[in-house]
Amino acid sequence: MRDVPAIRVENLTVSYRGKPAIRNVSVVVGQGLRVGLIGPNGAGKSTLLRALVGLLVPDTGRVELFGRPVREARKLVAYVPQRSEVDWDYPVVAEEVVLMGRFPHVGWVRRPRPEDRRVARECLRQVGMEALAHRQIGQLSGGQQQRVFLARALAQEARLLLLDEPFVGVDAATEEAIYGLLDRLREEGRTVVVATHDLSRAQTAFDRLLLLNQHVVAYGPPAEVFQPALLQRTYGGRLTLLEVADQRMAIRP
Amino acid sequence: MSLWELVVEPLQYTFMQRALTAALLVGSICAVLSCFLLVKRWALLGDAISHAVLPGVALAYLLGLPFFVGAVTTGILTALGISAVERHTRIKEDSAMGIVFTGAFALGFVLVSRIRSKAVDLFHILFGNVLGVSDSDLVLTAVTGAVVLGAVLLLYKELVLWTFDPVAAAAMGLPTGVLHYTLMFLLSLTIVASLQTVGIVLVVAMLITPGGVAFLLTDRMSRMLGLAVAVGVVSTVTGLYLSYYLNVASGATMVLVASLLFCAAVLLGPREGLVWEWMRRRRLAEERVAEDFLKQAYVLGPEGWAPERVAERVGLSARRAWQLLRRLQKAGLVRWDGSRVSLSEAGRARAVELVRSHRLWERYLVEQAGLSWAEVHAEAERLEHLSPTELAARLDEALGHPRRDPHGSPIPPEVAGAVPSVRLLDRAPGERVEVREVEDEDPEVLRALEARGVRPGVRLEVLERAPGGLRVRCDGEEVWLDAHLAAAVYTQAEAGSRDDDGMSELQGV
Repeated sequence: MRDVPAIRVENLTVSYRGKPAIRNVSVVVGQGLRVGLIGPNGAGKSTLLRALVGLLVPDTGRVELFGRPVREARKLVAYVPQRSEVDWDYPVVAEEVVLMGRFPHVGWVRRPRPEDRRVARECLRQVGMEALAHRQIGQLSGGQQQRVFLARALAQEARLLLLDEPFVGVDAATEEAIYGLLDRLREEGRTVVVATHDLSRAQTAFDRLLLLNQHVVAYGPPAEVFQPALLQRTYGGRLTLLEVADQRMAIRP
Repeated sequence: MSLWELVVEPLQYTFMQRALTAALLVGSICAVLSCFLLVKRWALLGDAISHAVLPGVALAYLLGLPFFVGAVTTGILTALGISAVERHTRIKEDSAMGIVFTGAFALGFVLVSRIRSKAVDLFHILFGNVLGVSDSDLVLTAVTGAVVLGAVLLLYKELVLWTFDPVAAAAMGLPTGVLHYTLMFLLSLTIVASLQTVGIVLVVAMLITPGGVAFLLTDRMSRMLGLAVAVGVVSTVTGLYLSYYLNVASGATMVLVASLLFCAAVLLGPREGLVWEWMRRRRLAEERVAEDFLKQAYVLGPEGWAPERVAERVGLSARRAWQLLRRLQKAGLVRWDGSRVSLSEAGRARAVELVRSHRLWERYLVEQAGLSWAEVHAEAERLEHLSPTELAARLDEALGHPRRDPHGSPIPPEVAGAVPSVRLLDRAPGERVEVREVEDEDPEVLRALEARGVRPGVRLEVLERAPGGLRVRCDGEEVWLDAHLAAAVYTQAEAGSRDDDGMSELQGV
């Protein structure tokens, strides 16, 4: 199992509300990598992630996770949507939300075991939220809510994590918590795919970048892929790049 | 008759024993489901299904089937019909429900009116007849209850995950469609089981209100379920007894009890109870009045004042002022020697803090926020009560340790100088003076003074005193000041330099 790629996508075309959102996407992501998924709004980043967890059914093409079809790989994948569309008044506290992530391990009908509660608590601690474990979910700030959902993904103990725009609308503390988490996940040999707009840190925070604009523009290490020409193609010329000393800074119009 | 006898007496009748059992069962089953309907926003679906069982009951009678079978069938068909309309047309969910369930209800009504039989009593189906519950009804309700409660207990974790976050549930491989129809099926079962007790029309209340009450009282689904069951059971059982003793319709009485419990939760709920909110606001307002009282006592000066005088400046009635005075005395903030009220050391310290914060805010609002000096007093009146000492220190720092507010009043620890200021109104013609301080209570006065160029630091020469006011020279121009304007301006003899000499019979804050 170690040598199979975490993600293998072949010729994937997925429509969203009747329109093709991604076309003929093929990519192979090795295990243990931090992958930045980069592209403009409407490039199909969310669609790709949702197809990877089986929330969208492909028109054509195939997805394999760790060498298995998505259906059989549910225990291995955790997905955090851009902004969870939940009822924020729901009578549930942070700790219970995280415990929900244990579902694939607990299984149908059974109650969570003490072990599951321990894992949930530990995951809350990892995102710096243990002090607010008993806070109702709607009474947390946007960044804190995002961290709770991250903790839930961690509690799934998945080998592949898919994070959709985790940096949008969060505070600096949450942003740092997420970047710290990415590093730790890699040390643990887990694979992470992060859809992001934060081009300024894309070069340093990820091992691979996947440039997407409905189809794959490029996939590879940042040093090879983070090139003006490729970025321009990804963003359709809507990007202004400023070269500052050795570091490239990208500014979106 | 003792309470115990009141409770036990009706139970000598078998029909009441059966009714009580039915009430307990229906109260708890409906309550459990109500929690999930509430978080799933399915309250109207409950309404729809409950109405749609009517044609089922009628058809079952015509076909000679148990009415349970017919009711569950049409209940589920309606639920499916609503989903179909929603999926295949542009009609949205709420309208789809309205269209489908009224159609089904009307069909049922037509069928029942055709039957005209005593076996199907429309009034009982609509409003329930708990006193007429038969043993077989009871068995039916008990079995349904066991199925519903068992299913919810077993699937609790799944139902919570799905109702809270359907996307995550699907991503974790939960069959959300199955859960959707399971909950609909349980809902149909529950409604049918409740028909005899509360009837079609009122079962909706038992399927919404207990969950609603519990939702206001807790943050956790597990506790919400327990509370909802308590509310449901209390409503049905109390309603039953009330209807027995008052000889009124039992189903409606049960719903009324639930509604009253809901009102109580709205008013007294620990988190959002309107009563607590109201009391909290009142406490805050009291706190502000007390602080204003201390501040005015301070501003009036250290020698002590008749409490009426202080109260008048805060805008308190004599009675409220006496209550407040006693409270402040108990708290050790003021001293009361029988005729005069003065500040204790602690009271004075608190007052100084307030005055300091007020004047710093005024300065801040003029300098940093660009407000006119006429506007800032009212704003600072509010802000002073909300500013802890550290905040005042930060303001002070940011403003570069100012000594006076925009109206010329000293910001503590800066104090008024030894030489008292004199009102401009009391100056004689020919005197040359410097404006030291201006009363800041009345924005109109401040605007009028501003328009005439009179502000702290400006030099004036009094030219003439007339009955209605003063004529002065200000910045080389002759200006007329009405008496009420001149009365608001405090002056020093011109020779004095800005900061070492004094003032003040300060009358404003």
